[in-house]
Amino acid sequence: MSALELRGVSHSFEDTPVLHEIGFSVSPGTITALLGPSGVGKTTLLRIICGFETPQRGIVTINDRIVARDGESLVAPEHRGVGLVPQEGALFPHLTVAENIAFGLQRRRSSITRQRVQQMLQLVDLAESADRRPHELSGGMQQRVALARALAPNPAIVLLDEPFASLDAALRVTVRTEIVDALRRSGATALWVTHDQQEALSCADEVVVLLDRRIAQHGAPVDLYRSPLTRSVAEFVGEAVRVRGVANGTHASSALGELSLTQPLHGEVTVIVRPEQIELDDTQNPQSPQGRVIATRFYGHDGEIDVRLHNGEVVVARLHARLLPTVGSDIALRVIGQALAFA
Amino acid sequence: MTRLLRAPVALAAPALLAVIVALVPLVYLLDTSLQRGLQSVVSEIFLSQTATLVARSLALTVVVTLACAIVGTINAWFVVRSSVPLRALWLMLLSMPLAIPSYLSAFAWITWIPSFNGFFGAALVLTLASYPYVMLPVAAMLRNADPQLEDVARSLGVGVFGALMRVTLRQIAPAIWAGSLLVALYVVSDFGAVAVMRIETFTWVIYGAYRAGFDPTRAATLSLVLIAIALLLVVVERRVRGRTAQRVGAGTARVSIQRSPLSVALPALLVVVGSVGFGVGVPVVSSITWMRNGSAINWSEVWSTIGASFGVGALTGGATVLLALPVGILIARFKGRLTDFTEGAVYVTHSLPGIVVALSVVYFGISFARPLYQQIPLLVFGQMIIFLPLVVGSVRTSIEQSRTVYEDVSRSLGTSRMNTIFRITIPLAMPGIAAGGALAVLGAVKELPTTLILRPTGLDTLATSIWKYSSVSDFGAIGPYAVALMLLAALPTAILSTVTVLKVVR
Repeated sequence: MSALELRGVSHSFEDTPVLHEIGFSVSPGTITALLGPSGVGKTTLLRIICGFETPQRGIVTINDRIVARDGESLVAPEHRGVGLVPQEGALFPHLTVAENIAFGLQRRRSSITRQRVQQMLQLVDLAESADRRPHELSGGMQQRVALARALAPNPAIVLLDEPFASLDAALRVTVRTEIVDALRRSGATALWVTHDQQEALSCADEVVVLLDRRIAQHGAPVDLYRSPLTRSVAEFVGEAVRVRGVANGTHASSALGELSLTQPLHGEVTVIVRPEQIELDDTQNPQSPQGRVIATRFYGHDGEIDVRLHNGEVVVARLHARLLPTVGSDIALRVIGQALAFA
Repeated sequence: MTRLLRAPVALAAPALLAVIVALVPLVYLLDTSLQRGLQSVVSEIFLSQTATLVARSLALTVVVTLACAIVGTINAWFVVRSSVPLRALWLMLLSMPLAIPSYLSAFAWITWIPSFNGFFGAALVLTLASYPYVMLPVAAMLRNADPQLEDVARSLGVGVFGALMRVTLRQIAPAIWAGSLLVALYVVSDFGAVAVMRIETFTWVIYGAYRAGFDPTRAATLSLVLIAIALLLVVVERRVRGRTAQRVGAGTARVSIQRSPLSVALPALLVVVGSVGFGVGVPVVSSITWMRNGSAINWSEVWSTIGASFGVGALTGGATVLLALPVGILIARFKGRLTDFTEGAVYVTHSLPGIVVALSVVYFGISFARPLYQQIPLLVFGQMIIFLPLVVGSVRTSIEQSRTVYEDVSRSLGTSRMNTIFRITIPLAMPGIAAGGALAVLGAVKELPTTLILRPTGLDTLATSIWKYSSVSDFGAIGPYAVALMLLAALPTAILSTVTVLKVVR
């Protein structure tokens, strides 16, 4: 059984296709991130699941009930059991926090409702703010209320649409942690739309990568990072260092030396490693690839160097801050672990 | 992303009903004008008298519109771009003519300088009454115009005045056009000023033909011609507003505006002082003088007239808001042929002069609702048609300003489309709805021709009392009604112009 399932969903606006053959499912009690660059159709997909758009082709199933099929909406948005947490929260400005949370509940004046609102307020740690107005809350608090409001009617799935896009970087991590905690504690199922790969990798059980209107890959964060199926996924999820290489089965030779590959391949390839896989090699091994440092970037806890290899290719290495060499120095490198290769 | 949603029937049906109800009387107007056959309508239109009438009305319209474009623009420039202190107060004062009905102003002038009657007097009074329609949008646009463009022009070797004419004036031209067309519409519809000044323009002649009684076809036919002119103005106004130019580039315009010192702005100051002095000072001082010189004021009559005015106003305001709500929501939130039709119908009602609406409702009442003829419901009905576009505009704007995401969230929380309208859309738009209602109440209190024609015998409002006493030149008696009307109208005018003021004066 799945809380949400999409099969072959395609959609276009007038003559512009925005989604092509989208299919994935979300298991109950899990958090799935829908990751893609801006303008890839993530918000449209969300609106299709909510019922504000009807997909021209394909099937949308919520809790094993078909809600839309091939250009026909079978269940109205208000009967789909989908909780929406939009960008910036969109709390109803004319209602208090408690009234916002109670909005989707039946018989809003009953004691059951009051209990549920209390429960939700505690879940997001805002019990003291019940009677405040949305404009009196900080951005992070508004997001928590928006989540409580979405969770209150016990929806089949909660959809979060870039919930932290409007928060500043320092606040974002804190609020994100609070929201994920609340989601986990409530045992809710969530689909989380984001363009921030760090957010997707750190918060979700599974990640669906949406590139160029279609699903590029669907899997656990670790698999996505370690074994991307395509070069574009490898480059979109995490940072990628690219060099040319020639593969002969399990290994490839390149300006970074002989590299062990995650998957066997033959012929000319693009080899991809992560910046943190490249280290300084002080073993004086004559086989080690040599290069000259052409730029350094100091980040505090760590740093990056750009190295021009003997054949002119430039690679990026992430190093501990105290290991950063100076610009112009000649260094030797080595690569830790396996490399990705794409034809 | 456009929202191509079909409107729920529970919303579309009342909206459609509202605009049809508003347009039905026009059918009776057409019917009345055709009573003697199409031939007589055509010959009426091509009568030389009619040609003279058209020429005179258009001349008045052109003169007033030009004058308002100049005066309104100068006043706007002075408030936004000169270094005058107390900018907000100036703008408020300059907006005040909106609170003074044209018939009151005209009467004040004609008692002060009796030789002012006729074309010149009407043009003067109408200019002083309607320049704010140009001033307010121009002031808003001047405030948002990029001041750096003028600096660039100066750096390219153009003088101060040259930069003003070649750069700034071009930037604010759309606002001047839009405001001027509103003025033109106001002038062709105006009844009070031309009636007091005894100048035979459309509205005054239509009223005369109606009062003469023996020839309803003439009044109805002239009304049709007037509608055609007004409709043309509304269509052009809409076109112009659609083309309102916006700034190019993402550069922020929050560069502080360079304000001209008062010595440079002196000529403009003369225009400003003249506008306030003649547009506000003359009617206010006259009214107070009348009141002080008047012998024994019948206060109980004054109070009951104020009561009656607001009674009728409240009924009109309430009814208009009820009618305007579904229309405004439909236009703001749903697209489709039904919406286009509704929007078009609202624009048609927007072009209808009060006197034409009143006559249509009379003919409608005579042939269809005779028991209601000259009863309160028909009066409220007529005023409702006049103020419908105003209230729809207010409702629509405030709904368009609130984000659709609130409605999406509400739907996803299990609330149906109609319930969402009641629980989210309407509460969020409440300020705009209330403002629209207030505008309708105020308008109804000031409205002269509709009230004159449709009121029950014996019912007097502030407007009709002023009219009644002015036609017999009983100055003493007018005083309290004039003062009461201006006091009551000044408050909402001040509040409504504050919205613009806050945008302009920062």
